[in-house]
Amino acid sequence: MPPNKFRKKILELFEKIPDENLRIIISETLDIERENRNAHRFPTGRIEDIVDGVANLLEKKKVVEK
Amino acid sequence: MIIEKLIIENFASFFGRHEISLVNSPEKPLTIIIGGGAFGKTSIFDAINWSLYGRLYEPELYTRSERKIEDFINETALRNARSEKQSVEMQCTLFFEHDEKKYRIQQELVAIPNKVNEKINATDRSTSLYEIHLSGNSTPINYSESFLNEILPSNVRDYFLFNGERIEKLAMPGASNEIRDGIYRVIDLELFQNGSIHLSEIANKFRKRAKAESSGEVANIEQRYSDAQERLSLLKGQHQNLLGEKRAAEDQIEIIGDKLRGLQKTIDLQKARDRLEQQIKILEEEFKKIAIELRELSSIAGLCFAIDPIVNLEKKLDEKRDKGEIPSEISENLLHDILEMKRCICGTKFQEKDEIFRTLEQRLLQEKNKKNKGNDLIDLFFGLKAAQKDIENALDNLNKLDKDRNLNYEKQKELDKELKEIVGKLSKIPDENISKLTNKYEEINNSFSEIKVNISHIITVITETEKRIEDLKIDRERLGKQQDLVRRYQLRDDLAQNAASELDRIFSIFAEDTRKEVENLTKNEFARFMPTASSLTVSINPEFHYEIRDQDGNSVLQQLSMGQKQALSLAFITSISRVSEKYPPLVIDMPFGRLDKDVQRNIASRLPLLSSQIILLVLPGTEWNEITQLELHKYASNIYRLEFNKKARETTIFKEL
Repeated sequence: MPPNKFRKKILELFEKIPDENLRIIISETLDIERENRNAHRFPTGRIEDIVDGVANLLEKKKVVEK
Repeated sequence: MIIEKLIIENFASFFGRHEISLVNSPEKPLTIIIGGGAFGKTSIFDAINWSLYGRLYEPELYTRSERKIEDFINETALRNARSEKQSVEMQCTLFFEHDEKKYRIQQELVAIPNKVNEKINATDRSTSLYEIHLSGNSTPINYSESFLNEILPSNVRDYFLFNGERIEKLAMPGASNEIRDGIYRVIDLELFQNGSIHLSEIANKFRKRAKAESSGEVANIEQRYSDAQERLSLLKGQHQNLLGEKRAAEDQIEIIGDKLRGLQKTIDLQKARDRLEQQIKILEEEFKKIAIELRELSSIAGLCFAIDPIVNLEKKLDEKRDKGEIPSEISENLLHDILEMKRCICGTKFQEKDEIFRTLEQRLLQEKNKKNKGNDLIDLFFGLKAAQKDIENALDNLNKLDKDRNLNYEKQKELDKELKEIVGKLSKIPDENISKLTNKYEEINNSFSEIKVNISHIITVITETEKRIEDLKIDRERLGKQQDLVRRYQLRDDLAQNAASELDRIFSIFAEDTRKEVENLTKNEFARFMPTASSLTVSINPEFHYEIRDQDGNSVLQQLSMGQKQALSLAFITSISRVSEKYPPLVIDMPFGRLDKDVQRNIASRLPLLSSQIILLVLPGTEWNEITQLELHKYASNIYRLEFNKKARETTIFKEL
């Protein structure tokens, strides 16, 4: 299915986020939100894992750069 | 999504199995189901909803009919089951196509009637969902909310499958929350809001861990940072609450205003009050604009103390120029040419190795240096001139704006005075009901003004707190480097918090864009539904209230006829469905019930163009009459008529087209 006008608009706004790490966190968060739209128990831990994962990568990159 | 077929079995007044084909051609998008009052139209509407949403639809069904799902089992089927001492099955099955795949979804309820009393015990219930392949074989797939969300999320369902009652409700004063929810839900804006909330919660968690792990100076800064973030979150919550209170107060004002406009004794005074309040609102907007311009200009105009030194400096530079201390281009070009030609203006020829060449070369270098210095001074001179002009212009504009502001103050005073007189007149009307309404109106109006002041105050505090957080961040980052674990938690906190802020930012842009788009579509659709009202301008303001104005700018929403109001909400509801780009069918139960003939004609002529599939459930005569038939028949792929046998209490479906 081609992306509708709103998905295109979201993508446009997304591309304007300068930090790639934030882009990753946001897109994955939105996927989890969509999957659990009406869930009684929201899996907050999954979003926490995403943030943690991105942070781990950043830390490793810094070590390599050093 | 395209609905292809509905099968109803022992549901409501439908005894046994009934099949309704709903396939339509692209040029004839309508299916029309005609049936008298209590003949089973709404049951078909319910059957479509229940098939798709099952348990999610049942609370709504109960609210409307005060009947549990098992109470929808057909009476005859139940009686037969009771006499035969058997169970009874009720089923609703919907065949549909979505994203080039075909599906069958079925809700089934098996029940055993109680022998002693009228009670029914549901023994089993199930939902099954199958994908139907081209070969005709079916594969069961998991029925889940995420599947429904892909097709048509349950929380936006009532913008696509709705009835006349809902159209009417949306047209009533005080529908702003519904309007906002509609706009937010259909394009998943709530996902952004929830995502931001969850990310902020996670940031908070990491912040707490950083605080717990920190010590000494780092602990101090962590505490301050954490306090500031908590305060910001609290303030943002308060801001949201105040916005909600503001919307609620506006709704209340609209409702009471509507009542006062409906009373003979108060209609003129209330209209005069509407007009004055509108003028005051425009003035307030102008005040806001002036305040912003004043803030911008004052920073430039504030430099006016520097004008005298600037003028002095310009004079001194002028004097230097007169004295030739700021060199002209000529001497440099002349020296350059002499060196190029290797011949002096007196006619003497020379070579590069000659003394004169070296002397002239040195002189050219000196001139160049001098010129660079001079250029700086010339740049400074013109820079100062420009600055002087900017400051003088800013001062002029500041004075002009100040005059405008004073004039507005005077205007506002006059309007306030007129408004007070009207309120006085209203309160003097010897009628208890009017007096109550007037007092209530004033009370809410006053609290509305207070809320506005509080909102403006809280925005200022939020801005200050955000600035404080930015300052604290610098210290936090610097000090955090001393303690490794703290730094790690800080990083996670920052990532989550920044992602939440970005989501908030996208949300705001997106929400405003969507509001404007829905507003635009609603405006155009309303004009098509009501060509006679083309002089009226329709808007949905930032607080999600409809605003309808006549040519003179007066608010006339409450003067619209019931038909016009319903046309407006139908325009809105169909705009929402189009903005979503989800393209599900529109299923409307009794769309024309409360409309006069002219409005029926206009709406009927537009309806077939609004979606690729429209299922209309209509009453004969009131809704399915000469006028609507003329407009709708040519666009219909299917027409069904429901007949109801009163004695057997059963509905039969006849295909007419």
